[in-house]
Formats: sequence, structure tokens, C-alpha cells
Amino acid sequence: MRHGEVDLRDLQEHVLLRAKDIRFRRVGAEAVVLAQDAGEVLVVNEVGARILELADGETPVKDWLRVLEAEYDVPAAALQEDVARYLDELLEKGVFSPIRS
Amino acid sequence: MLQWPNDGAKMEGKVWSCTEAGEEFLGVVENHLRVLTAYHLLTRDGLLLHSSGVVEGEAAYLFLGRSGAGKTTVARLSQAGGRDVLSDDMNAVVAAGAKPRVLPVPFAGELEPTPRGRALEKLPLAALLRLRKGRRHHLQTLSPSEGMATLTACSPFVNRDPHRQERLLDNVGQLLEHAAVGELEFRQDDGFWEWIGEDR
Repeated sequence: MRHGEVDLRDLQEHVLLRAKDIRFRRVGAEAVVLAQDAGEVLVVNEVGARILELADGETPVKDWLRVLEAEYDVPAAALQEDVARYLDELLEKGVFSPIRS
Repeated sequence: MLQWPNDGAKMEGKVWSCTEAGEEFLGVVENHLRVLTAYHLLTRDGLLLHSSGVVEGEAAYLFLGRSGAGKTTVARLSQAGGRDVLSDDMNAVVAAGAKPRVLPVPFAGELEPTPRGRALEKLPLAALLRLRKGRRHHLQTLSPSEGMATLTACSPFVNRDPHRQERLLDNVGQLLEHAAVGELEFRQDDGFWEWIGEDR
């Protein structure tokens, strides 16, 4: 599943961690993200908020998809598209620390 | 230079300026005080917000936005319509309790506060409205997350301080328990007050 520069097939084994300068706060189902270095404040939807929680430096991306599929009643293809889109956007904005696998 | 411990119990500020700085010195002092005020309010369950404050009835409306959003325009239009203006650049809100209060601060932008606006001490918060220039007047409620993002983005100085961001989010969350944030699209006349009035 490719979206922008992100191909989920390449990231399955990777572990992501929220960057040190990132603060995020759940607000209902959504979340607000403060990217200090970029000076940006972002709003992410429910799936985006869950992705931020899963980017804990321990859970590989392939497990994110399993968790999300179990939690949301969404077709797997649509979910993968959502995750790829969020990863693309959040990686570009420096929300995640450098990827390690 | 600003110094303060993390518990916020004591803050110290020092200003050095060239003796030939003349009037620039006043600007330096004012900017210094703006920063101090933002940090101080954070320790008092408050926020210093990039906003234009306008009094309608006995309550204050805060129109939120960064430079160029239309804060001064809205203040001018409101003043022309007979309303008092607090500041067209920065206003303080204290979130403590179920009734958030607006505290005028002496930091104006291009527009001087009206005499009554300058004399007021504390007012109930009527509404928090993010500004958007447009071709019509329209008011809509923002989601809680958009409200939090707006208030955070409009909290200068402290929103760039990694040691204050958690507290900032706490204060914003506390304020949002008792006040929603709307978005006001407006054009260059004071007809937007009719939309705001319908929301009251």
C-alpha cells in the first residue's frame, strides 16, 4: 500500500517513536499535536490519535495494523490507506523520530 | 533575560539596553512584560491569548488569530459600532472555575483600547472565536480538538517552550470544559455581530 512517499510494505518491521519535541493530547476521539520545532499545532482524527499512541518505540508497524483492524470496523484496505496517509504526513512533519527496524 | 524555577513560585526578569536606545527601550520593556505575563498566567490557570477583546453587554468576546487574521479589523468595526475594545492584540483569560474571566492587559496592537475598555478589570468570557476573513458572515462551532489547537496556537511564548507545553495543554483543556471555541468568518463590516448575537 503506497501513499505519497510511504509504502507500508517497507515499514512493516519498523518501529517508530514520537519525536522528543512532540506533545500530544487526546481530546475526545481526536488528538492535538504540538510540534515544537516546526511551530505547528495539528489536529488528527481518531485513527491518527491511535497511531500516535502506538508509536511507542516498541510496537512494530505491522502490529499497528492488527490493533487497528481489531478496534475499528473498517475494511483492511481502507485502514491501510489511512495509516499510510498518516505516516506520510506525520513523517514529513517530523512527528516521528528516525525509523529503526 | 528571564529566570524562574519550574514550580513557578518566583520569576525574575532583567532587561539590558543601550542608553542611546531611546524610545526603543520602551518597546523592549513591553515585549519583556508580554513574555512574563504569558508565563505568569500559565501558573494561575490562565492564558495570554493572541486576540482582540471586545465588550458586548457586560461580557467580553475574544477574537482569536495570529498576525493578519483580522483582530484589529474586528476591533475597529466593533468600536465603530459603539462597543468597547480591550486590546486588539493580546488579552488574558483565567480558566479557573466554571466561569472563565477575561482580564485586560496593557498590550495593544495598532488600536488603542477605548477609555472604558482600559478601565475594566475583570469580565465574564462570552465567547472565544477564531477569525477567518471571508466574503460573508458565518459562525460555526469548532470541535474540541480544533478548539484546543486554536487556543494552543494563539498562546504565544509558552507554546514554544517544551517545559511549559504540558501545563499549557492542561490550562487549555480546563478552559474548554466551560467554553467552546467557534470560528467566525467575516467580511469588512460589523454585520458579524448579528451572527454572534444569534449564538448568545
